[in-house]
Amino acid sequence: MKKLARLIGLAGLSVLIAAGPSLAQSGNVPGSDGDLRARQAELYDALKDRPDDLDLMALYAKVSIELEDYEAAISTMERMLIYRQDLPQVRRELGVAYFNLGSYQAAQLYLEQVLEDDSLPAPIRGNVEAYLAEIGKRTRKNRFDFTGAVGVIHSTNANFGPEGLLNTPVGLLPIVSGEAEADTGIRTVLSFAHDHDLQRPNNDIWRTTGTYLGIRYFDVTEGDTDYLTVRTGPRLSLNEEEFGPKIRPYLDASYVGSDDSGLYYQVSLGGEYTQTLSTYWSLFADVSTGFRNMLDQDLDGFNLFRADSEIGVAYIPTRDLIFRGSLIFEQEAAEDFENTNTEIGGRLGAEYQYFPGFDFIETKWRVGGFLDLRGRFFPGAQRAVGLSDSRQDLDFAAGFSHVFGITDNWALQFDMSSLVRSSNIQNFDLDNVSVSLSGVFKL
Amino acid sequence: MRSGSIMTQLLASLSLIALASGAQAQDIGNVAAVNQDMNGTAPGQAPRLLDLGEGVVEDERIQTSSQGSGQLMFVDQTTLTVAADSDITLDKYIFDAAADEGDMALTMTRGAMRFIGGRISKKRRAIVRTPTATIGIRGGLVIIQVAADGSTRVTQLAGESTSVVAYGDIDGDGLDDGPFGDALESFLAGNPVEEGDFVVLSRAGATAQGLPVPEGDDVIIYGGLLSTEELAQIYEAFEGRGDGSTERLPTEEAVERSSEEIAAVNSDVEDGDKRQPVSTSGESPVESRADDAPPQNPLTDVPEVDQKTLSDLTGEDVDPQQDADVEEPVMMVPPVDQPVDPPVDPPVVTGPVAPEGGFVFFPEAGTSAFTQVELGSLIGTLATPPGEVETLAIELPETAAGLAPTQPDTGNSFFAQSLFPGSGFFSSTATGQPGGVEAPAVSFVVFDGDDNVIFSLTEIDEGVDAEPIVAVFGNPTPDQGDVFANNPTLPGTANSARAYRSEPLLSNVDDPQEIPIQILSNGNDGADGGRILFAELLNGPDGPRELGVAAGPLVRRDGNTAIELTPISIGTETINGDLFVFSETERVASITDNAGNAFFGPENDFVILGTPFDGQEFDGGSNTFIFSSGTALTFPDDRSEIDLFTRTATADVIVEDPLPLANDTTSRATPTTPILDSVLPVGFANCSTARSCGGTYALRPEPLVTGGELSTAGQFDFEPGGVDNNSFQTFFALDDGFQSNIQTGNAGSPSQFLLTANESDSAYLSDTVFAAASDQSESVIAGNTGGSRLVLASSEAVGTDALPAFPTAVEPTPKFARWGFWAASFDVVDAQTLQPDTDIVDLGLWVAGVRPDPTDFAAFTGTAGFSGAAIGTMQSTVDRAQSTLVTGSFDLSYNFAQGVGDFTLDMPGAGVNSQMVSVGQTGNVGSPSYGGSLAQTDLQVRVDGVFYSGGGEVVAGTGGALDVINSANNTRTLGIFAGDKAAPGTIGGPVK
Repeated sequence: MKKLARLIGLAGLSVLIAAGPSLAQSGNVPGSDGDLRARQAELYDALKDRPDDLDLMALYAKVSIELEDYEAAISTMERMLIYRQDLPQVRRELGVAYFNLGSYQAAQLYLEQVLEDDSLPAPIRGNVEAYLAEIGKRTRKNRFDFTGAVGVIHSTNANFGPEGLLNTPVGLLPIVSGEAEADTGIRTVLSFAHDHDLQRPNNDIWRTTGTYLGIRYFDVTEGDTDYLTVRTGPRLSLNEEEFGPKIRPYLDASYVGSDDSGLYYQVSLGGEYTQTLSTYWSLFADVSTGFRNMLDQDLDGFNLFRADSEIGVAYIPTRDLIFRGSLIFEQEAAEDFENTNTEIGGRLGAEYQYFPGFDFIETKWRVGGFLDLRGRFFPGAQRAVGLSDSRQDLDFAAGFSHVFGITDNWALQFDMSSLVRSSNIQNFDLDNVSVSLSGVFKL
Repeated sequence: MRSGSIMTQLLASLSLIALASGAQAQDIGNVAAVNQDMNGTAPGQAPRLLDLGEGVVEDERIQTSSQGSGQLMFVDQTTLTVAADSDITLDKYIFDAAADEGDMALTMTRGAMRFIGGRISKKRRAIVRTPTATIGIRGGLVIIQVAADGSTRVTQLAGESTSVVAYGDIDGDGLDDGPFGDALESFLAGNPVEEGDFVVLSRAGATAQGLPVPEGDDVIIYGGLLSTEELAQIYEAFEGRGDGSTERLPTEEAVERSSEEIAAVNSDVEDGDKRQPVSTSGESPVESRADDAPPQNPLTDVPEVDQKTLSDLTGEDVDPQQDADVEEPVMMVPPVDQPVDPPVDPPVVTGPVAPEGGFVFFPEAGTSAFTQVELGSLIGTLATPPGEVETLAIELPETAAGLAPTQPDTGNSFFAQSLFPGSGFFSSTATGQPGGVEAPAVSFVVFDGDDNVIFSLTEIDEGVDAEPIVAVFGNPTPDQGDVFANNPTLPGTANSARAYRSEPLLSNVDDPQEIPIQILSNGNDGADGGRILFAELLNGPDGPRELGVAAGPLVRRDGNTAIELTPISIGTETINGDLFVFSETERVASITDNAGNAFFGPENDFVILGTPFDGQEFDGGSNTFIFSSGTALTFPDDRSEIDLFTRTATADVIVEDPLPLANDTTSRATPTTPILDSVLPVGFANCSTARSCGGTYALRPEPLVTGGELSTAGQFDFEPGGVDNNSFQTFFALDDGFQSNIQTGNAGSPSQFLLTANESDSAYLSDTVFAAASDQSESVIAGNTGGSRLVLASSEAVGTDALPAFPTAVEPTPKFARWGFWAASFDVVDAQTLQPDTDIVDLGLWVAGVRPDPTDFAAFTGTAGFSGAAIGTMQSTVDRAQSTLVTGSFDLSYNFAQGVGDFTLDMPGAGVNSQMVSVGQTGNVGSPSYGGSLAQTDLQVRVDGVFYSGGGEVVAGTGGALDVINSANNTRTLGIFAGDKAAPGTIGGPVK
């Protein structure tokens, strides 16, 4: 229990650390919009009387941008150009305003006009070119992202084994782990995402993502892991709004290998659902069903059909801060009834991005943490226990991650995760804390 | 037909808002820029040139010449930038600032317009009608171009959506009619478009075109994505020449300063080029699911497979990679033409006496007896080496204590535990000389009490594709078996209950010169088949025992068609039989070799079996061997050969058909004994091997307590004269943890199994025998009701002399409790196949007594001691095996005031040596029941007990059920204990 309490405390600290900077810098939160909105209205009234006052228009545009009311800013700045076309600064701001609305053709139009000015200061040119480069990426019909991370991992329980292995009284566990062993190893994470623009009048895309997680411990080979998962499917608009509800039916295939041999593969069909609820809230859900086939016939009892579901909400008070909370329900129907189980739980998480304040850092740093609590119930009697006892697990997981971006392409990443599984069957008890430090390359 | 124009409809739909706002006839906007000229025509007024800042009103017509353009800004911050040669009418404009909502409708018959939405379009669509389309704009920046022929091009620059619909010009006013009525309100509210021809744009740069179709409804087509070049051409028209009647031109410094202020919050924002777009409707644009979360280690869902540990536990190589790495087999039988190293003298052997005799069987090469066998390592010198190997040495532990229970899940282990206490399996290495060839080996070893190896069976694995070599050292003495064969004490059969004895049929003969046969069988009847659980034969053509083989669970004979089994090797003269490999556990009626010789079946009384591995785990057929077969020469009880397999039960206690008795109440016996209640039955039920439950599941009282009593015992009443109370009902905990294919049909706990025999079909036959059938009652397993049959006989019926031996000084018959045997059959339904089946309790145990009055019992506050006998049936934990009776004793010291006690169980045969279990009161306050468990790493004991009254004492004795998993982790014992309270002062003092 002490260990559980310590890990819970550690996890709580993780989330606080993740949310801390955002809370400290929460000045730009919804509560200040009212003042800006009043100021904008005041300026607008003034503009009615002095519609050709460029100073007033600029001020109005600035306030509107602060409110992220880019439409008002754009209309005003374009009016400025009606009065004076020789305002490259205004064209630059117009381009960025359109960029922030995702209107990349218009943004590109204005930004390229800015570059026509040969006397443009180098910093401004660089700034404009950065936006144009980003527009170029975002308007490709096929967009690829790749991330690779390689680093060192240390786990207090590399093989996910119990602290003490109890000989089973009336049989044996078909899957058992040796007693917990700590070890250090190499962790590799490779991920890619491919978005194919379906060129429809909305933003529908076909998205394919893949992730590989490989862990090689120096000594405890039982903890060696190869995990490859690929998910593909279209992300479709469910109504006519650009930011309206989206659904992504998908096919998901996974392979898990362990200790240099295949453990199982899994194929699922499912759907993700997202919908914005308000300025700061949105809803997400994921439902899937599939099967898992163990590759070792001795483990056929773990072959299963599964149905997973998650529903949650996100609170996004600022561009850089997001909180998530979700409820999770999973059902696994295994070939061996004793492995059939129902899992119910919840997850809380927070992510925050910020600039660290170092001049040589070109990108934001990102910090995140999560807490995850699950109860898992096995209705069938466990051979490990015999009699009529059924297995019941309580999993508590927590994690913390910090990405120290250096450039757009390179970063260092620190991850920490912990898992405490408390089961009524001693052999299923386990706890683990893993920490890793990786070098990250993004493309 | 429509009635009225869209504007009429719109007006109607907006009337409430209009009344609320009271904004009619007021300026709805102002002229924000005029480049050259822009005309305005207010309703009922002449056209006028619009001046900068001048107001415009609802229904005003705005026109520009080929040289003119301008911009209008509306109350809600909507702006219209009007290009040259355009004609737009501000049909309706209503905005309620307090509610922050309104409606807006325009008509555009030619030209180009850039619409940038304000507050109104964030909540409801703003409408623009053209000759060929009706455009609904929500939260957007939209460019609308209308050509001379009325064709319309709509480009969404940004925003939530722009719906471009075409209904056609039915009323002939030169404009598209758009939706009307409820459809109009739905359209304004932003609902999905469902009528007319339409395209919805919800991405930046997407275009749609409204095209006129002669004499038909107009059409809307999706025009693809706008290029930057096309957009530049359009924007040039809006921008004009940059001299929009400026009256207040700022200084350059002011422009610079203003621009920098904007840039500070816009273009110069750190990481601004990485921002994601925001919504124009005010809703969060974030897709809130974290797609980029780092992957979770999947092994937390499926615990890491520790191949080594799994191999250790199962005794099988479960690592396919390891399989792949297997080196070329080390040939124990080198080819004749292969040079070999010179012979090496076997090491000097000292120590205990070596077993006598033995042989080695080489597949496809023959058998060679050992001419000399030495102990230490088991070393045998081959009499007729089939190859170059002359001596074979197998490294074994030196004492029985060194036999790690590496095979906890085999019938062999059970055999070892029950019949040969000093036995077990051991992984070793076999070395052949000369040549020094080595190969892994698994040995079953039997030690005597002085740690002498008296028998060893070893399988030597020469490689993946090679059949194993089998080496047998010594001759086992099978006299340890036959626990029940000569035991007439067991409850017998009831015609209705069909409960059978669980003893082996045959025992050794007295004449050692005759071929001894010992087969332990656990079959039940002819229909259910005879299940050979253990076969052991000492066989030789000349009579002396030369061969002994232990075997685990093998087959269940049921009279079905024989299954073809392919012989892979022919035996030798010494073995006089064939070697077979089962491809899997099968139900066989007989086994024949290639020549058609049957060596298992009614004509053959025995087989010699070897199962070095778990009989369940067949992998391509390499685990179970039949070495030989033959015909028994002598049967001790003169039963026919067929009896060996049909298992006609015999017993001293014969219960005549209880059903007629049960139905004929006048024939029932009159109980003369006191009422017995708190009956605790335990036992193993055997299911057929056709089902995948593996054979045995355990039944024991469910340790749930309700109503102040151990209700799991149910009622088992022998009430004098009370024929209506001859009933039996009990709950069991049901454990078939190996396969989980039995599911109880009870509404309660799935592990509970309710058995009820009502008085109508139960019979109290004597003071010691009770029988019941419950075809009409509530025997429920796997949803099947009815069809249970049982018979119970007390230890008195068995007779003291016939009872198994109890430890010295243990009184097997307590004064105030009764115990005995029971057998039953239950109709079940396989939970997976839904096929009906019948499971049988061959030999169960029960204990009963009279519960004390709860009120009296609650008055106890002292401490008392109890002691008595314990008896259990022991089986292999993995597969169905022969039930073996084990006996022992117990002591209980109980503090009634605190409801706690120390229960000490001594049952060496079950692996329990004076283990103490802390027990505590169970059930409600005042319940005379207690229970507790001991869970050590390798030993688990569970006891559940009840106090009994008698002899005028409120508490006079105790009895209960026990459940033991032994220290070797390979057998389980279900049993009972029953004893009396010690005399006051002897243990724990008197009870108040």
